[in-house]
Amino acid sequence: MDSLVIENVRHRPLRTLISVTGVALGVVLTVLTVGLAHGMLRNTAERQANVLAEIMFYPEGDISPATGQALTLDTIYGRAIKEGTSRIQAVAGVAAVSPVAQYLQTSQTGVGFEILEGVDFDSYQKVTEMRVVSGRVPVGEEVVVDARYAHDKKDIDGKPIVVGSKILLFGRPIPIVGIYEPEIGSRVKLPLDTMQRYVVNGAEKCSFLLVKCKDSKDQELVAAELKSKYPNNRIVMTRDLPSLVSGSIGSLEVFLTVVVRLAAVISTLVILLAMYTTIIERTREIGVLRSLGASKAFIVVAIVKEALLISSLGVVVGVLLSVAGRAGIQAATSLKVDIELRWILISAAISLVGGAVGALYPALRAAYVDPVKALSYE
Amino acid sequence: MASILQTNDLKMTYHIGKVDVHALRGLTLEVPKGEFLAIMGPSGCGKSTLLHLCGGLLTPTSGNVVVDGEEITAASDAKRTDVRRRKIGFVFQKFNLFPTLTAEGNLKLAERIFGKGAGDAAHRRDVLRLLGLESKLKHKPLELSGGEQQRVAIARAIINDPALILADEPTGNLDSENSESVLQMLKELNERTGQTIVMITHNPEAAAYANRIIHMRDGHVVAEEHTEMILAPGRTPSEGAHP
Repeated sequence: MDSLVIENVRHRPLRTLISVTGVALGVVLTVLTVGLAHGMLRNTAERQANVLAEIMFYPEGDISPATGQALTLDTIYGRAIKEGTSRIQAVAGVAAVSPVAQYLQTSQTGVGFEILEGVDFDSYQKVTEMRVVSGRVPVGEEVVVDARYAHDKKDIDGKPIVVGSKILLFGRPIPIVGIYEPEIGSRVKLPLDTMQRYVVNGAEKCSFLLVKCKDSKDQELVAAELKSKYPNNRIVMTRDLPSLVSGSIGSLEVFLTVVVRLAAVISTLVILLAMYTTIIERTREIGVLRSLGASKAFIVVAIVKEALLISSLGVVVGVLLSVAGRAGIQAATSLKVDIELRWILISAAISLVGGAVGALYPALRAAYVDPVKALSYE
Repeated sequence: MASILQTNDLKMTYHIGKVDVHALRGLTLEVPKGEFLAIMGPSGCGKSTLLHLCGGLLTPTSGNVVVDGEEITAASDAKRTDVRRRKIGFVFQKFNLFPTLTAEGNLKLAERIFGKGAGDAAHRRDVLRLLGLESKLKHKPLELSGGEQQRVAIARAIINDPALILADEPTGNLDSENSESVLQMLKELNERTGQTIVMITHNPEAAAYANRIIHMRDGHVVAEEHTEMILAPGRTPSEGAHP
């Protein structure tokens, strides 16, 4: 990078600062938004995958493990799979089945949503690693929360959560009677029958069943038998959950594409505006360059280099801001942000290409300026 | 003596709205190698147009310009730029130094445009020493006086050893002391290195530093004189010339 380019960038600190900030915002928009989306998806998938059960048995139709599932599955399927009915034999190789009901409600802070899970704690502890590490298992209108929730959230009085604190569920204060580990599924769990009472007027419904095999090696066979007995139901292997969760939100990819394109437009416009203004300001200098024998290509390259230097600074600042933003978000909330190298590289490429494209018009305009007019420009 | 610059029946007409303004009306001029030529004349007589045509910054309506054996009138913009880069150094009234660069940085830029890459530090120092600027190497234009800035501009013009220096009112923005200093530098440059200089000026005292003066009016050369004949013996031009 030559001194003319570097000195031009240094000589106009405000212009440089504004341009760098603009490009950095584009980078932050991309890296942080994508990081937030992917972080939350990964965290959700990881929590879902913390179950011992190998199979999830869903009602027919689309499923959405990332955002919760309506209570449309009859719990009678659980008993049928485990014990059989008068007409259907139990599925061979099944060790335990546990129904789980999910409900999406506005979060305690009023911003965003959280998923509640109604579970049958006896069977749930047989199909997951769940253990209550403080307090006890809830009964009736009581809940347990995971350790992360207890650490991050506040109770209805704004105090740190401990066993005995109350939180709002279904619009009413419900006591927390235990803290559980590890993070599995949703962070707040209550008895299945309590949720059924609130959500489906006490009907024997759930969102899905967790099916634990006697021998994990037989999970394919068990899944195949479930499929043959219940061809209309969706059978999902828990090992596939991470990819299923990210793929379950089709609109997320659309949203991320929009964000990325928006960032590209911001970078391009910021650089275009900055370089255009600079070129007008430096018309006489361009005339001088031409008088010194600088070719059109030399001028274009000098201006594009300047734009690339500004864009590069913007990328560095943007990545640093994103890292700081992640630290801030994760410290202040329970949200997870994944800053991925891939997206840093994508946002850097977008900013650099945007910067080069944004600089091209001012650069060409400068290269084709009449040198005599430029030399007399005031 | 071989000529460095030749113009043949050079005409230049500007079309301003519906009006044609004839800046040059068939100007023929020959500048031999090593000459210091001054061009004088009232505003609007075509002096600057002539200088810009000689530097390949403008294309004439008709006629041609030959710089050091290369005809530039019919050449493409790229070719004219190349000739300008290799053979011409410009000095302007307003100095036109890059404000963000130091004196040395301005010279390095000219070297880079010439194609010398990082340039030759020793040559840069020599040129700045020749112009009395060795202590101003790291100074930016705003840290220099007008005279010093113009001397840096001269250094930039000669750093690549061009065949021809085109100076457009080089003392127009300087006080008399700095004007004399700059003109003395140009004169020394011409005498010591044989550098060919074509200088536009309104100032007869400045013109008196040249070997030859041509007077223009309405796009023509109307008179020509040789300064050796008009200078008083043993006097510098600023000390006075015979009428």
